[in-house]
Amino acid sequence: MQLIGLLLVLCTVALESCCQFCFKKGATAENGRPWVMPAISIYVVQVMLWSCVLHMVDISIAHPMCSLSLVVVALMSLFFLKEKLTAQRWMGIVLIIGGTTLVGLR
Amino acid sequence: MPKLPLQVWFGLVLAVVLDTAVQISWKAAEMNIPSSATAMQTILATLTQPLFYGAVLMFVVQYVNWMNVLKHVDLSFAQPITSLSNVTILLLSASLLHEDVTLTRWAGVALILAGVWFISTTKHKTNLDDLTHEVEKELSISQSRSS
Repeated sequence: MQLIGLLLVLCTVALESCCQFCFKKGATAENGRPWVMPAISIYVVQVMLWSCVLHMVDISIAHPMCSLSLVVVALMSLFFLKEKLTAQRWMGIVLIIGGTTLVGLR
Repeated sequence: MPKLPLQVWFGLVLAVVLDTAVQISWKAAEMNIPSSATAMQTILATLTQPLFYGAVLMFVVQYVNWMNVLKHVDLSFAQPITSLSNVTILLLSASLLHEDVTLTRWAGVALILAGVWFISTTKHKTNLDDLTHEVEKELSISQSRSS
């Protein structure tokens, strides 16, 4: 139960990152409109997923773990939006991954 | 600390309070659902919980408030402040929801907050195309100067 819950948290994080990516594309692409509907439908799926997460896992585990989405967004912008990652950002990424692991341990 | 109008500080505090309230009431709603419920049953049962609708309502207020905050300050400043909701959520989940918040969890949250701060305070607009554009602009200026 606990493990499935943690996996679902990771799914939410992945979806959240896709959502942010769509929003960024929607806001900056020359024709951004096609990016808005996917973003909204991802939101709806997220609400269902998060309900299941909270049903299974402590909120004091699930909520801090969501900060992982910052890491995924940073990596996605590195690969897909050609944004540069500074040494300081890499450090932040390592700290968040470390912190999330600690929270998820127990 | 940048000098900000009181209204913006109020918006930032409100953002933390609302984020906390949304999460805590949503979790409280889920706690009313028997733990034997399947995923589908959980989703349907969530829709019958008044606390869930309370959370949705606060989420809407949160959205309006957040847009308003971002009108006045950068995301890089607002983001680390709202991640403080991790702290309030841990405090309330221990006191109100009786979750066992261990020292390991607190340590993890401390690391996460440090990480969010590191990610958010770096310079923005690092898109390579933008940089190339800047360089080209510089070049054309120096060329027009030399001609």
